[in-house]
Amino acid sequence: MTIRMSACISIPRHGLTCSGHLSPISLNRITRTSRVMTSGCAFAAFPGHIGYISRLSSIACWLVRCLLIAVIISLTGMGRPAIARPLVAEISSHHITIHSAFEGTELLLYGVRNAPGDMVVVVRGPSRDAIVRRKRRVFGVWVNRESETFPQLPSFYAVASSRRFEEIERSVYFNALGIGYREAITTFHPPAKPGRAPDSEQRTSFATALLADLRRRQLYHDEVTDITFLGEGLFSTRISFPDNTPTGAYTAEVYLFDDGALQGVHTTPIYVYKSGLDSFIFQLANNHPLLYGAMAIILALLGGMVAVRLFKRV
Amino acid sequence: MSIYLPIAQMSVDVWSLLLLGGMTGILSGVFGIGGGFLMTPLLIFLGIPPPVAVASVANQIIASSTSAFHTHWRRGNVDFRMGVLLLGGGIVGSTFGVWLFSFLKELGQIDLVISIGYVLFLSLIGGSMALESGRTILQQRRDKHRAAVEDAEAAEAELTRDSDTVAHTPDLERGEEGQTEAPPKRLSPMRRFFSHLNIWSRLPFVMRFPRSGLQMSALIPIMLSAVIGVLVSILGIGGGFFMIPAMLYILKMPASVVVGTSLFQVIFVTSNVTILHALTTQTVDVILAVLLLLGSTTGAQLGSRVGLKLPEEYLRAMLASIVLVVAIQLGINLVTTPDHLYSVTFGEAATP
Repeated sequence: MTIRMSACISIPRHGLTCSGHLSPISLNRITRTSRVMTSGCAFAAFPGHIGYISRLSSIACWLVRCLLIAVIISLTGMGRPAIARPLVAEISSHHITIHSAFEGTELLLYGVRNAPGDMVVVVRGPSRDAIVRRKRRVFGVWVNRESETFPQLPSFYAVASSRRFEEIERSVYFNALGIGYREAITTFHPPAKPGRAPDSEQRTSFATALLADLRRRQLYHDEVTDITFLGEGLFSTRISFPDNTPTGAYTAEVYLFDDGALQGVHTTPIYVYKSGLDSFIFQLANNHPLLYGAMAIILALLGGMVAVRLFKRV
Repeated sequence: MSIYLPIAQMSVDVWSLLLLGGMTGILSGVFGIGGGFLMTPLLIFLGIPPPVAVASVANQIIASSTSAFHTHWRRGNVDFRMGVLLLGGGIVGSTFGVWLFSFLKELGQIDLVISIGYVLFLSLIGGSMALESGRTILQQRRDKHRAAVEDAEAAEAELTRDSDTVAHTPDLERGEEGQTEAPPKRLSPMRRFFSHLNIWSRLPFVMRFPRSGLQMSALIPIMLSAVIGVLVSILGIGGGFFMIPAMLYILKMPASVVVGTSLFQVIFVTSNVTILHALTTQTVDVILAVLLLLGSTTGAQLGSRVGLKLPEEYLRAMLASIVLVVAIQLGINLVTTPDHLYSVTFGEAATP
C-alpha cells in the first residue's frame, strides 16, 4: 500500500482530489482544469445506468475501504493525520435527467474527513454572463438606465458547511475560488472596458440585487445547508435542485479548511441533461432551428384542422 | 399535475395552462378576436420568460386562426386578392419587427416598449370601440322611441359620399336611397380623421377588389399591413386586433369579409414570426403551444355558442371595457414604483 505525503493530485473514477499545501492560484487552475475536464467528457464518460443496489454496494465498499485504511494506519503506527487523503467524497448520482414530470430533485453528497477542520461544499452550474439593469423614473415612467455586467456567473449555486458559514475563518481562498453566495457573484474578473474604473458602490448594490433575483428564481439557495456528521469523520449533506435547473456540466466541490489554510479539495462532476421527448425537442430547436420552426408551424396547422373536424362532429 | 417545458426550462401546472387557454379561447369565440393580447401577459404572469411567451403564443395563434379561417373560407367570406397584398406587407413588417425586437432587447428597453405600445394601442382601440358601441346602443334606444331608422342610414350614406378617400363602390346594404343631409357630428372621430387623408386617393397601382367591392391603390393595404406587422412582432400578438379595425375604418372593407381575410393574413404572418423566432431567439416552446391550443380550441367552441346569443353592440361594449381595463392596468404598472428596481438578463451559456 502506497501512501504519499507530498502534495499529490490523483484522478479517481469520478473526479479529482488533491491534498497538501497549494497556492490559491495553482488551486484555481486545478479547479478550472477539472471543470474543463468534466465538461469535455460530459457525454463520453457516462458509466451507464448504475442500479440502486449496486449504488448501495458501492457506498458499502467505500465505507469498508475507509475503515480498512484507518485500521491499517493505526496498526502500522504511522498515525500522522496528513498521511491518508484528508478528504474523500462521493455523490449519490452524477446524473440528473430532466423529464416531462421533473419537479426538482435532491442529491446526497457523502464522504470521509480524515483531518480536522471546517468543511465547505459548493455546487455550481455552468457559467454564463448576466446583465443587471436598474430602473429610474423618467417623466413619471420607470425606465431601465444603468447596467452592470457580471461575466461568467455560475447559473446555479449552493453552499453547505460543517459549521456556521459566517464563523469559518475567511482566507484568500474564499474570494479566489468563489466560495459563498456573495463571493460567487463578485469573483474577480478583469473589467470589460479597459480604463473605466469600476464604480464599486454601484457594483455592490447591483451585486446585492443580482443575488436577490437569483434567489427568487431558486437558482441560488437561500441559505447555507448543514453538513451532518454521522460518526468518526463520516459526513453527508443534501443538495436540492429546483424544477428550472439549467442543463450542463456542474461541479460539486468539497473544501477542507483549517485555520484559514486549505487542507484538501475534492471535486466531482454532476451532469444535468434532458431526456426523452424534451431532449429531442431541445436538441432540434438548438441544432436545426429551421426544421424545428417548420415542424412547429405544421403541428399548429394540423392542430387547427383537427379542431375543426373534431368539433364539427360534436 | 405539472409538466416540464423543454424550451422554457421550467415546469408549470398543466391545468392552469389549459384554463388560461380556455379563457382566452372563450373570449376569442365570443368576440371573434385572437386573444393573444391577453394570453401573452397572462403567461408572463405565470412566470414564463417573456421571449418564450411571445414566440409560443405566435405559434398557437397559427392553430386557432386556421380553425377559425376554415369556417369563414367555407362561407366564402375571404377576399384573397386583398389578403395576399396584406400578407406581403405583413411579412415585410413582421421581419423588420423581429429585428427591431432583438435590437431593443439588447438595449434592455424591450419591456418598456412593449408596455407603452400596449397602453397606447389598447386605449386607442378600446376607447374608439367604447365610443362607437356606446353611441350605437344609445341610438338604438332612441330609435325605438322614434322609429326613425332612415336617419341612421342617411348618416352612413353621407359618410360614403363625403369621404372620397378611396374610389368607393357603394355596398348593397348601404343603399342609394338615403342621400339626405346628416349632421357631421354623427361620424366617429376615427372615421372623420381618416376621411381627411386625401393623399391616399392619388397613389399609383390602383387595383380592383371584386370580393370586397373596392378599388384602391395596392400600396395602401401593403403599407398598412407592414405597419401592423411591426406591431405584431413587437407585441407578440396575432394582429387581428389591429387589423380588423384598420380594414373596417381605413380600407372600408365590408364587415362580412373582414374577419376571414384578416385570419387568412394572420396565419401567414404568425408563421413568419414563429420561423424567425425559432431561427434567432430559439424561444418557441412546442409543448407550451400545444397545451394552449388544447385549451383555446375548446374555449373557442364554447365561446362562439355564447356569442351567437348576445347582441353585437353589447359584445363590443364588453370587449371595449376588457381592453380598457388591460390598458389601464398596464399604464398603472408603468408609473407606479415597481417591486423590483433591478432586472436581470442572462447571456448565452458560456462554453468552457
